[in-house]
Amino acid sequence: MRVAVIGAGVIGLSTALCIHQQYHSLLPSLQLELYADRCTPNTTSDGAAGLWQPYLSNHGNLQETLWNKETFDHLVGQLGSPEAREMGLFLLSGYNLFTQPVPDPSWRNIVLGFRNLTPRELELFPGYSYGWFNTALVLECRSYLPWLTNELMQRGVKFFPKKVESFQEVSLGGVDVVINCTGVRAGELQPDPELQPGRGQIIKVVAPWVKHFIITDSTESGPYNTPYIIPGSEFTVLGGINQCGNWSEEISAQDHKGIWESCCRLMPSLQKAKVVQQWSGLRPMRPRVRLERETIAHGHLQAEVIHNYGHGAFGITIHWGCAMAAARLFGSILQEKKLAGPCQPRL
Amino acid sequence: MAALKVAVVGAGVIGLSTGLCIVETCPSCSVTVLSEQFSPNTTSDVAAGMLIPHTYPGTAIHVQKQWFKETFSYLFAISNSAEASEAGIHLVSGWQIFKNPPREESPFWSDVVLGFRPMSKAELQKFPQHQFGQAFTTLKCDCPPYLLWLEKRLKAAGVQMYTRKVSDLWELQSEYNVVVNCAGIGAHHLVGDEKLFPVRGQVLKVHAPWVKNFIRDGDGSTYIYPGIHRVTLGGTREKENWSLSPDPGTTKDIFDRCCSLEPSLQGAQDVKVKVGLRPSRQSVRLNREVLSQGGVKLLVVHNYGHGAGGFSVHRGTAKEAAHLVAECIAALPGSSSRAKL
Repeated sequence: MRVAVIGAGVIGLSTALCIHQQYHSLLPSLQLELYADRCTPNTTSDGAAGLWQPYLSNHGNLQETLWNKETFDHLVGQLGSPEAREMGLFLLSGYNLFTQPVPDPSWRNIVLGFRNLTPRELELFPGYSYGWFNTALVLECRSYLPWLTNELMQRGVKFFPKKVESFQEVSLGGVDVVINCTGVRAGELQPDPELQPGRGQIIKVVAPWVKHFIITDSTESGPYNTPYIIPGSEFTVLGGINQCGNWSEEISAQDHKGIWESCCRLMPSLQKAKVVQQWSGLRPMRPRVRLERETIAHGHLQAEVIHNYGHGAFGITIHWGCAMAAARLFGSILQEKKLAGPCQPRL
Repeated sequence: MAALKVAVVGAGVIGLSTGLCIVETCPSCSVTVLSEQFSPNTTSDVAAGMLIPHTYPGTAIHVQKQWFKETFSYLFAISNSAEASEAGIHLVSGWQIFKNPPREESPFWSDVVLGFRPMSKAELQKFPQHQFGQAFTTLKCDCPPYLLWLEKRLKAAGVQMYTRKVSDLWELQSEYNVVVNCAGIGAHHLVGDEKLFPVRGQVLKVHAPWVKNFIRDGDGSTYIYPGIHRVTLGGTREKENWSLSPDPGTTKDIFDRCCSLEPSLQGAQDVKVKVGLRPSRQSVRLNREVLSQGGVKLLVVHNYGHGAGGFSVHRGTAKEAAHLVAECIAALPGSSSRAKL
């Protein structure tokens, strides 16, 4: 049973790991292959600060809320393990700031210690009159992706550094199931007008005195289009850009200036922070995550595809829940093939 | 008319902040700081500098609370300014956890720190051996940066600083009008204060930059305090132990206790061991005194004995000491002609 995962961002790697963990002992013939033209540190995931936090509103999408919760609970369970450091996983507390009262988010009971900000805390943030404090997690992809890659290599997963041009290309080669984790460029494999780039830009600085995340009110402008500050284990990420429909991965001097000035206004101590890197990337924005099976016909041949893309600005936040859901879909494919018997012609 | 000369003995957080307050309240004074040790070799340099007060049994609670409030406000303003990183001041959130029910649900300082509340059950799951906890956000003063920043401000105000071991306050009588005794544990010998005793603390300063929250066992014995560059792991409280030499057995014990609260510390690098003697006393000695010897008077203001709580109350006690210095000056003969308002 050959399974090809396309994409080596957080979604591709974690989905591959989850499937291997769950099925390799049930299915000795399972052969997992991973195809990607970009690997860490050059994936979209690598640019993310890695803070676990869903959007402020889930628009009634309970399925995604559940996947977010599964991811959080899974990561919290890993915190005390010796792997946590290698994974780039640690707890981080911080602030969400608003210019007016807002309803509590879907994730208020998922994170730790969620509460409203007190008046004295709000004094720290002139211009904001309402906010939340909670403890969440950071999962730094520059550590997590290599860790996932290592786990996969130890399990004998083969890596193919190449760009896949079509599903047929892999299925004609003898692959039984294709897992499509191609993120923002999924449209190149199959047109998807709902998938749009959400261009982001960030500045990485040295500011080790920053011990909290600060995310500002984006209810008017869309997620992460207003300033945010997220400390990592080595650098602090300053951001606040989310330009829908912009495919450019070039650094914009105007965006840089905007991020720098707005973050320094938010946290004056940043004026003394040294800039070490700028980065720009494309969030795979979609009204909802595409996580579903599709049987793709090509003449009289069929390919089973599991789509797992379109995680917007919450890929890390939701990745494990989605990986497990994709693994369940894979299980259903196995069920069907067993029922169909061993003589079913396959590609 | 010659400027009034004030000597501050001691260059830890108390000496330097007191010197600064004197400069701020007595512009007509010439202030000199004299100390056997300067940063990075003071007791203050060993401390984590967390603003979590220690309770002095001999001092009224409302006084301690006022000292803490003043200190917190002062540092809060710095933390929110461009000077924060140079001064080493930053906010940090975390948890104080208890195996047994805490003596007080709301300590006197709970409304001075930010966001003080009991921990939720979910938060306590991280600490299976502890049943109760308090979560809050407070400030941390990293040393050496904070002391160096105070020294810089003192220098800018024209304060001279000299390395000098003062064995007897009377040594200073001929040169200075007022002597301010901020000698910390040194006061035991300097002024023969038998009520002042060391409480030895050993700590580890490690590289573990992924630790962003503080964790403190409510019994005070074990704590993890993330600073700008290093995390302070502690500690010990050994009464009447004067040894400044690190003990390897203690190092292992501290490390083990901290790892049991925060397992990721197993990966901590570059462990540095430090020892400090907390200048402990039932109450902070904060008063003025006129010493007499053979018809000669020496005006002294004492500001020492802050024990485990020096950083938490330093600015409040420094301001009070500066007022006492002003009172000394006002009481000097011919002082009204000296005082420039």
